Amino acid sequence: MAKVADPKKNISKKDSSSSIEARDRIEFEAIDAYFERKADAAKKTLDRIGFPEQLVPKK
Amino acid sequence: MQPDTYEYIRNGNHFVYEFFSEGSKGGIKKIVRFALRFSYGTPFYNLALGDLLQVTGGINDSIESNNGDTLKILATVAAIVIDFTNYFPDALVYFEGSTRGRNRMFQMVINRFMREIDPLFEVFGLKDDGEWEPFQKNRNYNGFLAKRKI
Repeated sequence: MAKVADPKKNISKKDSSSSIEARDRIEFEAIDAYFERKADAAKKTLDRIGFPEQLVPKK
Repeated sequence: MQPDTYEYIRNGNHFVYEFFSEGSKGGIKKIVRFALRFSYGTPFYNLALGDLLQVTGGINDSIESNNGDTLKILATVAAIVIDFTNYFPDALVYFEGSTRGRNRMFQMVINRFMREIDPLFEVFGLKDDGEWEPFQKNRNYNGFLAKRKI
């Protein structure tokens, strides 16, 4: 005999899973924004300073 | 001297690495990310390290979590840079500390492992006057650029 899923149980599981996914997404976005800010700041520094010629010969 | 390092995992594209610092405060998840940017057409990767804060889900910019394992963390980051540049040997990797103290810590570690670093990388330091110079001991720098030699 096939098992019939309890609809209430399913809803609760779905909600729980959605909230975890939402939390993960928020975490990911916060982390991503942090690293992007750091990289943008580094770009500003290197735009201002340039690279050592020994590493990046002038064209 | 072979430095003690943590085991790390990398994601499929090699731009994000993770490891656990296991010190006196327990496990702290560390994330290392290489973010590609271009400066006047020249590509470089910004290397950044952060603690994933398990409670808030945020991230903390810290090589010092006061977890008693700073040297091991930095040695792990160095191992990650080697792994990353195995895949991207022409990459220019830029990194800087968020404070002068953290930059001094980078200097200390580069000094300490110069014998291991020197055959593999050219390292330049960014001086206070905004000029680059090949990394030298006992100098203070505001940022660092590294490129693989081999």
